[in-house]
Amino acid sequence: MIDASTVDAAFQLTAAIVALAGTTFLGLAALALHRMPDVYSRLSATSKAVSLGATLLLAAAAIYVRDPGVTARAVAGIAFLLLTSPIAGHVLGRAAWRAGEVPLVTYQDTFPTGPGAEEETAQERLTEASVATDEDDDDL
Amino acid sequence: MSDAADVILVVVQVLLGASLLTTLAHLLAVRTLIGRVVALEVIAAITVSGAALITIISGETAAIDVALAVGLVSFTGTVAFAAFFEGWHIDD
Repeated sequence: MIDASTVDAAFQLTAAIVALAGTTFLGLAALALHRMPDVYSRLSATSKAVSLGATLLLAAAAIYVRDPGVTARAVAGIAFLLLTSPIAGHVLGRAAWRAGEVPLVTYQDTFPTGPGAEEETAQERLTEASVATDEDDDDL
Repeated sequence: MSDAADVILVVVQVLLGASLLTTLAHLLAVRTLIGRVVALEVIAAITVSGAALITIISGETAAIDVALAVGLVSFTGTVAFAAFFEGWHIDD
């Protein structure tokens, strides 16, 4: 017969392992902030790792405490986080693009005609720069 | 069994503190405004996780309400900043 203390210990160990996995992802996000070269790749790396890490830690709290109120709040927090984290990342990336932040990794705009295409954007500056370099090549 | 869980939770605390310090260092080092907002978003997520960890360690069930509130305010602040940075207007 399994007694209650063994079950408690098993739940606590499971919660601790889940929390360790979540913290690992948060640490990887903090590392990506240092290692990634520009704003877009930092955004791409951190928004995914951070949502997974915080989700796992909230799930660990729900597993460890095993209280209906705490579980309900953790599930609500996980749902809110998974709904809003991609929106926040998208909005920040769009603000950076509209503000003329120059990407270092991806420099080909697949959809050059969009809302704001008539404005002076980073894409126009980049195409002007590439045209200038092409002319330099022709001169040489 | 429970000793192993306690040891893992201490490791989790150390890792979370280290990632918070790393992100703070990046926040102070980066020079563009939008890079700082990205770092602040990571700091908000680490704060949410820290509140969940306080719930685990101290058994204080009110701390997970803190996690919910911080997540809400973080998302609102990010969207408000993007609106400011992009120059949205009400009548657009």
